[in-house]
Amino acid sequence: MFKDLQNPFEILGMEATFDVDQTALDAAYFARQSLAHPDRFIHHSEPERQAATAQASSLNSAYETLKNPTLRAKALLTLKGIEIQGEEGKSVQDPQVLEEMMDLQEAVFEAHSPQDVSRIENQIQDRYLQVILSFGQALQKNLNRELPGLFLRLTYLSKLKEDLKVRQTQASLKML
Amino acid sequence: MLLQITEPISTLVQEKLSQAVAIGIDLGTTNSVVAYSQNQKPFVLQDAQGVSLLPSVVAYLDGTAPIVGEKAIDLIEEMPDCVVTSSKRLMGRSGSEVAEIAGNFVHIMTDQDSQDKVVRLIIGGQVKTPIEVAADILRELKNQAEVALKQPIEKVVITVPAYFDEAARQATKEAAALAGLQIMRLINEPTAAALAYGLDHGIEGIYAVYDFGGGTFDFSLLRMTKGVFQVLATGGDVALGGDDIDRLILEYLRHMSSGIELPTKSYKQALKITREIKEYLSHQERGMWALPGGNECPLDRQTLEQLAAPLVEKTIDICRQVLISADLKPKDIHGVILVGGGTRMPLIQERVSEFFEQNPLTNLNPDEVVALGAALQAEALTHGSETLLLDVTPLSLGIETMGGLVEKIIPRNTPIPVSVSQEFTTYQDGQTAMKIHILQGERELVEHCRSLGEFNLTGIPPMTANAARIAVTFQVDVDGLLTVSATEKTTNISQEVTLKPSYGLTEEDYVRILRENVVHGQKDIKNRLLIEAKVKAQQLLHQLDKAIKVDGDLLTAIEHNNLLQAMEALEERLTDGDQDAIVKRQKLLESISAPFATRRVERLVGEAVTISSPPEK
Repeated sequence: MFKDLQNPFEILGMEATFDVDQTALDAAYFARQSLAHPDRFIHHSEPERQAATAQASSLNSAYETLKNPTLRAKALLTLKGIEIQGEEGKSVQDPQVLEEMMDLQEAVFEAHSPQDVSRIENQIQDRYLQVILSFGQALQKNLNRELPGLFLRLTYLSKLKEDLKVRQTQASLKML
Repeated sequence: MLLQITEPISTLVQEKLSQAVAIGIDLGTTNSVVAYSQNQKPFVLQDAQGVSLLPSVVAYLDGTAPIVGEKAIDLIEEMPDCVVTSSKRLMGRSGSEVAEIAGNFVHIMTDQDSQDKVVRLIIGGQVKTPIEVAADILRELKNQAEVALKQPIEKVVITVPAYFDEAARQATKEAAALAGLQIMRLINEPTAAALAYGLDHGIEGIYAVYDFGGGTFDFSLLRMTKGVFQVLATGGDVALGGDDIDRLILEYLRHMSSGIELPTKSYKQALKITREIKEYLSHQERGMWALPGGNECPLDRQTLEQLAAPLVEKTIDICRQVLISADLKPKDIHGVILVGGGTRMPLIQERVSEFFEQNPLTNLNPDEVVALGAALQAEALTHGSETLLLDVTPLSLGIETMGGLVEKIIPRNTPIPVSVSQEFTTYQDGQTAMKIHILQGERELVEHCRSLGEFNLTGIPPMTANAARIAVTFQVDVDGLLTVSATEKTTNISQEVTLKPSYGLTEEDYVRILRENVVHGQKDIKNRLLIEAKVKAQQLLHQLDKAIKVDGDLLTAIEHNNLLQAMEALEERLTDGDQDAIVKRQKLLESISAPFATRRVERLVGEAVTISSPPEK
């Protein structure tokens, strides 16, 4: 996950926690990017301009990772050395999670009327916020055995949210 | 620039460095504008007649230099075959794609070799690529700026539509090089407009930029906070603009004056009329127009709006999609900036106000605001600035995987610069080569995305399927340009590809263009290249000298020694005048000094951050 074994929290000088304050994250990112951005190195030598581009790129990746709860959770699991299920050929071993998520997926699939879509959207959003809360707590209490399952839920739920966004775009276009 | 080879090198360097004048250019579909900024006060550089907008129209006549602008428009009626308009729409396009975009490019060469991707036009009996046409427009703007500022200009910030793809950006870069301009940065048009607004009015919050130009539509969402301009999301259509409304008006006029078919020859004359109609009906309710061939036709604003409505709705759809992708609602937007001459249409202003539930900002001239922003950025890059522009990739980048599917490596709206690696593996036992096909676009199937190029990674050691580890790295720089490299990890076989050849100029094009623009003899060109190499080498030596004085402690004794040796080696070559040897040693010195450069940058960034941030808990 970490390109060149870099830790996104370290890159942005943030504490490695799940609860990241967006304003603090923006401030840390802007402060560093203001110094590392290639625009600041236009009169420097070619090797230094390239080094600045590399530095700015890793700041951007770190920012994108910490901004997104799922990617942030994944980064924390990697830091803790916890194996992530369902990735790189590792099988998913939690039938309960799978079943729950397949039910939701089906509900999304079957939702046609705007009311249905909006209901399922709220349901997914509620569940998502719950899982985020649980993940943060489990992390704080070092309940390492619960983390992979929660992370899996988080991944599925954010995928469902993305799917709904696509449908929302399509629906808004049809409305015309 | 005329430099004597006998001049001492150090004066050359000083001269190069002191030329700290850079301009901003908005290279538009219909009009182009050049601007300059001093003390963060940008202004348009007008031509000798006091005109700000240079029509992006070029005429090619036998035995004369290209004619650009209003004078070229005047030739449209007399010799339509010698004049090219709206060629920006062809940037980075192949002949077959162009046939789908437009009907008003009557000059397209039809017998193009399929290998030969860049579109070629026959104008006034000459073969021209859109890149050369753009170069001729840029050259005209460069001259205009040099006359206005009374000094030679080499450096420029050029704006491109945010939704321009890789090929079109590369084409713009090539055009600048042909015009003798060095691009400091390519920036996106809506971002430039936001810069002009933001710095002028000190606005903060989330702003939308609605940019309806002659040939392209862009919509960008930006967050502006204390000098940071952060693009959140962008969307658009590179084949949707005022030109399309012109075409619809024309079709209507044809329909109304039925029986009399407007000949292809007067197509462009007719387009000239449609532009007048649009302008007139922005202020008046109705009018009557004389058509080529002696016909007259009435048209009122309501009919015009009915014609344009579907296109305007298309732009609103794009706004809606970009808002959804940024998780924002119209009410989250603090202000809507209108850019592009097309936004003068009352219909567009009404629809935008309605959709965003607020009146758009129009304090700055929509035709000039992009160039003003480019000039501000040019000044910032030459003299330094507190402002920071953080832009994003407009389109997803990916590679072809099994079954004709596209695997996205860099999703759209990712902040740039960015570097992402992804591992792929072989799917057959003993497979020694792998084709890497690079694509740009949002769709899942290869055939629905734009192909940017292919390359073969060869020499993979034969292994069982799934054993090889091939890391493909996509790097997008601050200009939005892509470099792809691939490395087989177990053996470290690596290959880098620049995507330039796909839709750009070929070797033969360069030779032809050079021959056409011969100003210097063969020997002069050689001398010029030699001097340029020497200046570059001298610059690097100078920069390294300074760096070692300041941060020499970052080097081990051995590294220090190696660096000094490589510097001496380059310096020695400066006296005996062989360009190849200089370039070779320059490259060597660059690679030797790379680790030092990285440490310097890390220190610079690290130190300043430690000083500026409060002590941690």
